Amino acid sequence: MPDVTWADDSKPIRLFQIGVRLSAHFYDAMAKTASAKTDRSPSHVDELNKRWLMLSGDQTIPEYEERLQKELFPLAGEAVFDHIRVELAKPFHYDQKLVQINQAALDAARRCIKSWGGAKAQRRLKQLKLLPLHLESIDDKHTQFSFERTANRILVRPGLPEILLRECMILEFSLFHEYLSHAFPAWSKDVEPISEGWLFALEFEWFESQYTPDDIDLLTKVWHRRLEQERRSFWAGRWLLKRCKSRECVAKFLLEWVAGWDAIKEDVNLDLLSQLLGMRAKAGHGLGGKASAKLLKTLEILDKVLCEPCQKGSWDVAKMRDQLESVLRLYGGR
Amino acid sequence: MAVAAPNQTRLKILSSILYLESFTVAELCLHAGLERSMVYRELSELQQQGILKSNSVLVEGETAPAHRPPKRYELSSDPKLREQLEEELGSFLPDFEDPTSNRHLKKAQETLNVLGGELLQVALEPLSDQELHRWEEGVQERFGEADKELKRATWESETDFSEEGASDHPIMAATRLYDGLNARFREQMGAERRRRNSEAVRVRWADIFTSALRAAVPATGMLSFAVHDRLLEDVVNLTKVSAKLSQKIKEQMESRKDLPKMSWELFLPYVASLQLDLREAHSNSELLATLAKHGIEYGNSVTEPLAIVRKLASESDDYRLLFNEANLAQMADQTGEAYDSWIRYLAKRWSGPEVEKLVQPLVARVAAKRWSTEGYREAVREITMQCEASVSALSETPFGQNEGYAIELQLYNPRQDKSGKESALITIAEPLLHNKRLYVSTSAADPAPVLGLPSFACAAWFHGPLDKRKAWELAAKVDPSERIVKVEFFRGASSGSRVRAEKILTSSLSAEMVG
Repeated sequence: MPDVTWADDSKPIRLFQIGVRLSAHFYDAMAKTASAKTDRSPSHVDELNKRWLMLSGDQTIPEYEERLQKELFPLAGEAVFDHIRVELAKPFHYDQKLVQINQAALDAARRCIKSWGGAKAQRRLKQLKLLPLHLESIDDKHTQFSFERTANRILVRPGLPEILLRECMILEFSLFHEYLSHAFPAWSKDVEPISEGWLFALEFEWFESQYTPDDIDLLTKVWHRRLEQERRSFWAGRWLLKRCKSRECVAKFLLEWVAGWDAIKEDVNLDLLSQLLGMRAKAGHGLGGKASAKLLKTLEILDKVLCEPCQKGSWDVAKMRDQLESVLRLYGGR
Repeated sequence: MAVAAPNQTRLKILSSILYLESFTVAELCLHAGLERSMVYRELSELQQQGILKSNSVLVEGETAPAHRPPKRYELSSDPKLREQLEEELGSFLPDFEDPTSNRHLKKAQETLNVLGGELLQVALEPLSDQELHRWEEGVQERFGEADKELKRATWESETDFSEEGASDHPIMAATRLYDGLNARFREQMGAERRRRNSEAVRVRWADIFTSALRAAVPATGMLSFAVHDRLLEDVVNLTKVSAKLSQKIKEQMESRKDLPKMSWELFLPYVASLQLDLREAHSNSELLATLAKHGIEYGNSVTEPLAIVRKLASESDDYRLLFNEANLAQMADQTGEAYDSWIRYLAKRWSGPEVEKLVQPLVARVAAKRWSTEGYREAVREITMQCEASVSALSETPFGQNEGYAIELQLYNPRQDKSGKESALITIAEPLLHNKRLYVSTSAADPAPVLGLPSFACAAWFHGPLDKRKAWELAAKVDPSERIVKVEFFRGASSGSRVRAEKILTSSLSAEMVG
């Protein structure tokens, strides 16, 4: 099966290709000029985006490339844009670039799991292979990414031009997310609060440790909307990841949990998920107030449940569930 | 006095800081929905005030990326400083959860709504034991699902339900609904189980009684009037037969090894009822009437009550015995004999006042495909308002929701009522009916009783517009899914009322008039 397949040649697909190319030239330009400047200015991205938005009309790829060169011409003299303009005049292998980005995303996911995962995660990692990309158009503002379990591929559906360039600039992260949040976990159906909340929080943490503040800034802008559905889970994930001072326990637990997901009863998994979300909701919203004895007890049990098994490297999910149930009983209800 | 508008950016930053406690700039921006450039000044000020401290985001020993590593900010643990922040925020606290957005609560509510509707509408009686078991398991499973979802909703909520004032929380309301529905379900199942047990006892009693009757009075099964005559003429036999019947019942019960001795007491009400009736029988014909009554009400074979009722009817002018004879013959698939008995019954029955001067009732048939509850309701409304009449309908198929009711199929009590204690009508035992049902809907508050098998009820309605034979033949052709509608006019109604009622039935239900 080819590494990249295209369902159609519609305008959003062509613009996506141009967006990927422009991003690639931009990052190359930034790397070239890195010695002169430690950080790129966010204004470079804004400036490039302004030129990108000039690409109106339904045109062929060579016409878009030519149009971009013209749009960048007034910025002549600025090394970054000069480099992009020169590169745009050269032949370019779109599929090859997408394969490279896809491979980089997979490598990042592997590195993340190797660094933070435990024994189960390492075993599961062996099954994580490069997935073909399939592109098709969709009538939606935002670019959509999804891991198609049955077809075993990543589906990319480019959105409207307004934010498409920025989405192309973080394509590697978006694919990294598909690998880690969707392809890696050993489940047959996504568990959204985990894949789009907790694992995403872990991925964000990984990204923060690996990329520049400007990259993170860009990522923040693009993903802000995507967090709408699972915002609570994401922040619960961020909070959980911080529970341990070494910042490793929870990351390791999460990766171990999803790597061994299908070996545990679904109800036990889902109960634990709710309990951990509840811990965040009940104990995490301290707002600086004085912690009650109940709150302190809650946090003590939570930290014990998450951190104690870390040395051994394996967590007994059913036991965790029972321990947390006992502490959550303090809060009444069923 | 003009009040300065609060600095929205600062408020957002402060609330996010209190929420996150430990964060990077990117995280703060993501949480507060602010641009990086908007937060630096505030962060710097808060650091100077000692509210925040910062360090590198990287863990010791980790490889740094090829750029300046971002900082991680930590909120001071000093309670005074935190209190100060909280005060500054005042009422501008971050949003709390919307309880109705809890996904588990939504799922639980959906499941409970479906369960609530189902528990209200379900009719358990028609279900077989296997179907009832499957239904029970399905409902229990859904209660289990709702329970799990409610538990998860409770866990995920930021509300402390142990504190006062939480009882109005939607999760608590859903929990109460769950408990209420679950109690109702257990009650329904308990009642249905008791009904089924009682029905099972009744079925077994039918077997015991019929077997004992055959053994004690073998002539009833042989349809031999000669034997009957001899039997009945011998007055000594009255006591002998009673004793023999009691003995046979005892033997039957003892011979059934499948019956635990403890469950014998379940049969005692039947035994007592029979014994009391036998005590009251002072002649051979009263003995036969008692046996016929118990055979119809509790037996599982039509042969014996039919033979007895025939014998009694042949010696009596009582039209009620002829009606019973007709129905029992029909149950025994003796249609010709059933028709003859019915004709004799009609001839002997008191025919009521002269009705020529009254408007004749209107009877119509409505095919199942033409029937609609709304159409019928509308027709009833129009006829009762405009035609000075009442409307009734009967069918072997249930009517729509909240429309009509099932009636018990009944015959006349063969025992003569001397004391006034005896009921005039008795219910036909289920094993004799072979699942025949009759449903009635009526606009009258106190409708006339519908007696006998469905075909007799139909024939009774058809007889009027049609002669006896045609009424009988048409009743035999009625499909169980059909509805038979009868309009009975009041004394003041005119022939115009009849014409109007006919039009209404035709237009609302495409009814086909009988006669």
